[in-house]
Order: sequence, then C-alpha cells, then structure tokens
Amino acid sequence: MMEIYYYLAIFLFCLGLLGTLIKKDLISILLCVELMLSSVNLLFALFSKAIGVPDGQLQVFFVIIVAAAEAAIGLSLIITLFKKVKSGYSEDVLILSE
Amino acid sequence: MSSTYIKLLPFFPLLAFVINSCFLHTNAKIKLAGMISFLGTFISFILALLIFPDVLSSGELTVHLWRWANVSNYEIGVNFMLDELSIILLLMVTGIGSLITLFSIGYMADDERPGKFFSYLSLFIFSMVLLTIAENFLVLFFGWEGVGLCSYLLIGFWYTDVEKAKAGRKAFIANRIGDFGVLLGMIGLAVIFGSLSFTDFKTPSLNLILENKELLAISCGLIVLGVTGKSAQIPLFVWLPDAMAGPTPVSALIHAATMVTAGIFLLCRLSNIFIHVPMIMDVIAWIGGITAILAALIAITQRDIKKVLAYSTVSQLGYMMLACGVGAFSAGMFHVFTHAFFKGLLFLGAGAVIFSLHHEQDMFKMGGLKSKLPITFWTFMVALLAINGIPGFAGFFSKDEILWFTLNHERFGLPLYTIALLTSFLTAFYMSRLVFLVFFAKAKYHESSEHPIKDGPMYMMVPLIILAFFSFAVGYLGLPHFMSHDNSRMFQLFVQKVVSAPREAIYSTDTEHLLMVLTTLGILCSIWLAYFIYVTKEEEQLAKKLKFQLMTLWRASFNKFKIDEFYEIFFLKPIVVFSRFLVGFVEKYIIDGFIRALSIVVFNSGVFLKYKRPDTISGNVLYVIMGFSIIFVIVFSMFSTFK
Repeated sequence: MMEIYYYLAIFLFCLGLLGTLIKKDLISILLCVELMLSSVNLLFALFSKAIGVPDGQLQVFFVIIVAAAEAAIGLSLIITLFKKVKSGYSEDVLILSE
Repeated sequence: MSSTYIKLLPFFPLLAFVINSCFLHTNAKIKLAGMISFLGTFISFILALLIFPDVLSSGELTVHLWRWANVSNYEIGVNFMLDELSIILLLMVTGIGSLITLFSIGYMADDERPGKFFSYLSLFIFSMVLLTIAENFLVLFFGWEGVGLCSYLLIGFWYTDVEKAKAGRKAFIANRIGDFGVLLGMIGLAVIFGSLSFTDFKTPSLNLILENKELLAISCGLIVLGVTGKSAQIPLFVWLPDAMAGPTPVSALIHAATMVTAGIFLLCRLSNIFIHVPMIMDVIAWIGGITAILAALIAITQRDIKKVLAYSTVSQLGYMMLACGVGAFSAGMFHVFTHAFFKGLLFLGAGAVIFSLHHEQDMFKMGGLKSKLPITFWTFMVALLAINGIPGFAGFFSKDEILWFTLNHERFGLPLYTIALLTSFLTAFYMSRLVFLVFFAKAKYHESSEHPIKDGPMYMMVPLIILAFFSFAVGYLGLPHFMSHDNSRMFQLFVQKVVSAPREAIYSTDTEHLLMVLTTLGILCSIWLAYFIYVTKEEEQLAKKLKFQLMTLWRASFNKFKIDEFYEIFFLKPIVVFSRFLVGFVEKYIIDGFIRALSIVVFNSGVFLKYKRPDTISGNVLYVIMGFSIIFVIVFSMFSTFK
C-alpha cells in the first residue's frame, strides 16, 4: 500500500515542474515551486519510514523552515517587482534576462 | 685510491668547459682560455697514468657514482669501469688531446672567440672520457651523443661561412641516423641479456644467445649501423670529408685520432657478443674492406690537402673495421692506437703548413716547403713513413697484423686480403703524392717579405715533435712474433684479456714473413711511382698524359664516385618530396582541415545559441532542467559502465 504515496510524490513533483514551466503569473510559479518542495518532503518522510531511521523526518522540518523563508523572500520580491513594472506576469519582467 | 682518480677523470675537462664557457665566453685572451683547457685535459692524462699500474696488476676497476634509473628489475647506475681496453683509449684521448689543445693555442691565435673554441674542445674531451670509461651502455651512449654534438659544434665553428655550417649539419644528421641504430641495438641487447653492463657483455650467457638468435642478429646489425655513422664507413662515411671545414686541430683530434675510433672501440667492447653472429661479422669485414679501397681511390686525385687526409682516415678506419670483421679485434685496436698518433701528426702537420701559407689548402699551390718548414717537414716525414707502413715505424706493425689476420679468414680470406693489400699500395701512393707535392715539388706560391714562410710558434712545434716520436715508437708494443720472443704482441695480448681473441692462423709463419717482404716492396714501388710522377723533371707531361689516358677513372675519382649525388637523388630527394607532400597536403588539408571544421562547428553553434536565449522565467527553468538531465545521464552512464 505504501507505493501509492511514492506515486503521489512523483505526481506532485511533475505537477509543480509543469506549473513552473507553463504558468505565466509569478505567484503561481512560486506556488508550483512550493509544490515541488512538498513532494520532496513527502519522499523524505516515506524513505525515513521505509528504512526505519528518523533522520529523514527531522530533515522535513528543516526543509519546511527553509521553504517558509524562501516563500517570504519570493513574495516580497514579487511585490517589489509589481511596484516597479505594474505587472505580475513573467513576460513583463524581462529585466532578469537582460 | 685509484677509485677516487677514476671518479675525477671526467671532472677536470668538465671544469675547464664550465670556466671557458661561463667566464671566458667573450673577450678572452687565447693563452688563458687555451691553458685552462689544456690543464683540464692534462690533469686527466696524469690521473690516467696514475691509474695505469693498478689496471696492469688487477685488471678491471669499477666505480659506482650514483643510481641513474631504476625500472622494475633493471638498475642502471652511473658507473665507470677501467680495464685493459678502456685504459688504452683513455691514455690516447687525454694524451693526444692535451697535445692538440696545445697546438690549437698557436693555430687559433687570430680567432675572435677562443673561449668558445676551447670550451667546445673541453666538452669534447669530457664526453670522450665518459664514453671511454663507461661501465654500461647508457653511460657510453651519453658520451657517444656528446662527442657527436661537439663534432657538430666544432665543424661549424666558423658558421658565418654557409658551406661550413652545412658541413656541420651534414655530420650531425649522418651521425643521428647511426645513433638511432645504436639506441635500438642497445634496447635489443637489454631485452636479450636483461642488463646493459659491459661486465655482463664480456662473458655473455650462451643460452640466451642461442635462444634469441634473430633478435641478436638484428641488434648487432643496428649497432653496426651506428658504428658506420661514427667511424665514417659505407654507407654513412660522406660526412667525414666535409667535416674538414672545421679548424685543423679539430680535424686532428676529433676526425682522425679519437672520436671516429669510438665505433671501433664499441665493436671491441661488444666483441664477445659479435663473434656469435658470424653473418654480421662478415658484413663488418666487407664494409671495412670496401670502404678502405673506395676511400683510397678517391684520395688519389683530391687537390685539397685536408681532403686527402680525410679520405685517408676513412680508408684507415676501413682497415680497423676489416680487422674487427675477421675477428682480430685486438689488431684493430692496435691500429686505432698507432693510427691516432700518426694521423694526428699528419693533420697537425697539415695544419702547420696551412697556417704558414695563410690558409692555403690546395696542394698544387704549395711545393718546395722542405727547407722553409724544417720541423714540420721532418715530423711529417715520420708520419708518412708510419702510415705507408715502412718497417720500423708504427703503421707497419699494425697494418701488417691486420693483413695477416685478413688472409687467415676462413671464408673470404683471399678476396679481402687482395683488397687490403691494394689499399695499402694506394695509401703509400697518395700519401707520398701529398708529401712530394707539398714539400718537394717546385714552389708555386708568392712569398712576401712581410710574411716570410716559417715554422709556427713553439706551441705548435712541440706537439709535432712528441707525436713524431710516438709515431715511430708505439709500433714496438706489438712486435710480430719472430722479431722478439719475450714481448711479442704485447699490446694485443694485453687487450685480449677483455676482447675476443682471433682464431688460429691457417697459413704458416714463413708465409707471413714472405708476404711482409713482398708488401714492403710493393709499398716502396708505390712511393717511387709517386716520386716519378710528381717530382721528376717531366712531371708535368707525364702527369698530364696519365690523366688524359685515364680520364674517366680520374674524373670518377676526383668527383668522389658521385656518392653524394647518388645519396641526394635516392635518399634526399624522396624525403624532400615526401616532406613537401606532408606539408602541402596532409598538414594543410587533413590535419588543419579537421581542426578548421571543428572550429567552424563550434563557432556557428555559438552564434546559433546566442539568439536562442530564453526570455521568460519558465524558459530559464526549462534550460536548467535540460542541462541537469544531460549531466544526470552522463553521470549515470559512467556509473553503470564502471560497474
């Protein structure tokens, strides 16, 4: 019965990746990145249970902390960008690649 | 005590080289530079004399300096060894080397770069000493290459003259071909015997020889190629006559007395191996015989005094090869020994003549110098009698010995003997021709009152006199059997302690005496013929008539049988054409083409990708993922292959 959770993790990761690639607005991209992080978290917990070592479950908390910090920085960056270019879509933020 | 002396042997010439090349490179007084070089060589000579009694009493002396290379189970050390064979060459090299260095002080007096000249000379002596006292093949090879380098540097010493620079290059290239053979042969011997030490080669294991017959024959053949390069034999002898472009003392030291005999020395060193390969021995004998007579035939018609002596050297070296080829290594070594003295003397005498006549080398523009240059004349006469083989002088004993052993060769005794005998008559003829033209014939030069023609300074005359004494005396070290009962063939028996001994004679000793007398008569006839043609009243007419009647032969001989041209067409031209093909086609279109195509691909893909840069964040992410997947695939495939 455990395999279904692995498939769930892979599905979540691919969903996040796909979203990152095709979504246009920045907030959705950020959300998709968070989705990928969550799938990795899920894998950590699953492997930890499968091997019987609690280290993976501890690692999950670190990842959640880092993800929270990253979300805060990401959101504030998006808000700053929005103030500057009056848009939340990635085509309008070509500044990054120039 | 003597082991310390052996260690110091190469040190002093090296020190002289360092001093001369570092501190006296420019603006040196010739006497200072010359004396440093002379002392370096002379101290080594004294050391060699001090070691000599030890070698006499205890035979082989070996000294280990340091470990050079250690490859799996080979250990190659910088080892020196002195035995009966090397002590003789060592005394010869350092002794004659000192005399010739002394002579150079007078001869090179007008030169602008004496420091350079004497540093090369010292470097030569250093390399030659190293070659002589080497205990293993690798140390010998170091010296072997060193003398080749010095020979090149000294032939092209007056490099501003393009011809002389070219002669140096020719010598170097001819020697390189030979050295390549020596290197390969050395590797072959190392593979067969598992050692490069001459001590092991003195008593080679018969099992190994029988097991590796083919490889041994190939290795020996390659070494013989090297010997023909260094000792100026067919097919690589062409460099030696051109080497006369160098200063005359250099010709005397390097291209007559010492370096060119290194090949014969190597043959003697490896004699106990060579005698097991009869095919190669026959090749050596024939190379020697043919070189001897060919060079003698060329020498007859040359006009340049140094060219005659050069071909004479080639011819005499042919004798030594012949002796080695018929198994009489000790006789060959004896001829090396006597030849060094009289040929060194001949070259120095020629140098003194050239010096007095302000660098005139054409014999037909000399003449009548008998009374003008008395010391040069009389010492030259001694050398002439020695090289002609007049009884009582050094050349007689050594040459007669070689003729005798040649006759006793079981397969080719008679043909080789005939060749050697004819060569000895020719030698007597052309050497007498040289002396008669230079010292006896009518004077054909203008003597100005400001520069009267007279003997050179003391520096030049003392070496001549010493060498003349030895040219007379050294023959008595190897007296034939019937002349002395106690000390007969003393020299040869001494050398035979380490060198393979010749076979028993087939013919009786009475035959030997008879042939000796006949040979001497023939030689006297040759001298008389030369006198008749070149000195008597009707010289002009007779010489012209003879020349006219034998025009084709004369011209063939004068043009050196077109051997240089032959090499040019059959070896040089193909190589040049092939090189042109490599440069013009292979390099330009294949190698360069490939690289150019590669650069075009890289450049264009760069140009292409430059404009395909992602604009959006998702595009950037896509590229990151693509790159990451490629790395992942590479790493994964590497892991799977290593498993």
